[in-house]
Amino acid sequence: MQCSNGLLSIRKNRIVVALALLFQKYSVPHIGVTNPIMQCEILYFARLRETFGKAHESVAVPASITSVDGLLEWLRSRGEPWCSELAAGKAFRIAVNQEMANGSTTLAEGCEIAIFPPVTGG
Amino acid sequence: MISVQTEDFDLGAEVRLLRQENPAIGAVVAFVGLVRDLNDGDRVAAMTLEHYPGMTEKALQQIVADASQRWQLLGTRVIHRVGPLRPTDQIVLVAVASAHRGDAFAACEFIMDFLKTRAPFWKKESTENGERWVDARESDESAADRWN
Repeated sequence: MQCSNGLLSIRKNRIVVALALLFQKYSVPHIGVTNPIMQCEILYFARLRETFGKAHESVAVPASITSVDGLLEWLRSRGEPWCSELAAGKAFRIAVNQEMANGSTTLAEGCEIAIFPPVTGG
Repeated sequence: MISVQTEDFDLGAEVRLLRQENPAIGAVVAFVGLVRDLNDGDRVAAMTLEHYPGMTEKALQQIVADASQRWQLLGTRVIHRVGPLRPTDQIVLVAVASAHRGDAFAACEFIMDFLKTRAPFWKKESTENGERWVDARESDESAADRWN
């Protein structure tokens, strides 16, 4: 995927989330209604924490995003530096709820996602 | 037992605690990792170790549990230091007790190989050219792969 400045995508994402929030606010509460957005906490470590300029952020993503791959695509759509740093072929690892994960790992409301470089302890 | 701590550790004291005078233990293998003053051709003046609190402990527990499934172990002790460290400082201890040496040697190496590739720690070095994050080594990944 080419990296753009991401402004258009961000605007699109914001509209989707705003509509989702409106839907959530004004729709009749009913058991079984799918939550249109999903709240997650993302943690960044080491070099990626420095590059992104933050150790963590709370995100509200469309509920259509159900896997790590979907979330990564959404993050890349925000533009730089996410687009380049999380591009396919870049060396980074993902954990979901503090367990090592892969692209197909499923995400759920309130999950803790961590994105970090390959580990170098020991 | 597993500890992630800023404080240094005493190898002799840790091995004594691990043994607990248990007469069934016939072998103890202990690995201690140290900070070197040279990496990738550059002088290293200092190092900082970052980790992922919560996940680090879980990942180490899982590695030790996997080792305990594979070999007959009578005790394990893992200590990993975090925060600022200097050359010659101790970084990590993996000590394993078993009835015979084969299990202790293998389990100690297994735990270290997976600690280096699965436990969320990151090293940042301070050299004369400034600070830099240490890159993961392909050789560490292949060392862990050979246990599969």
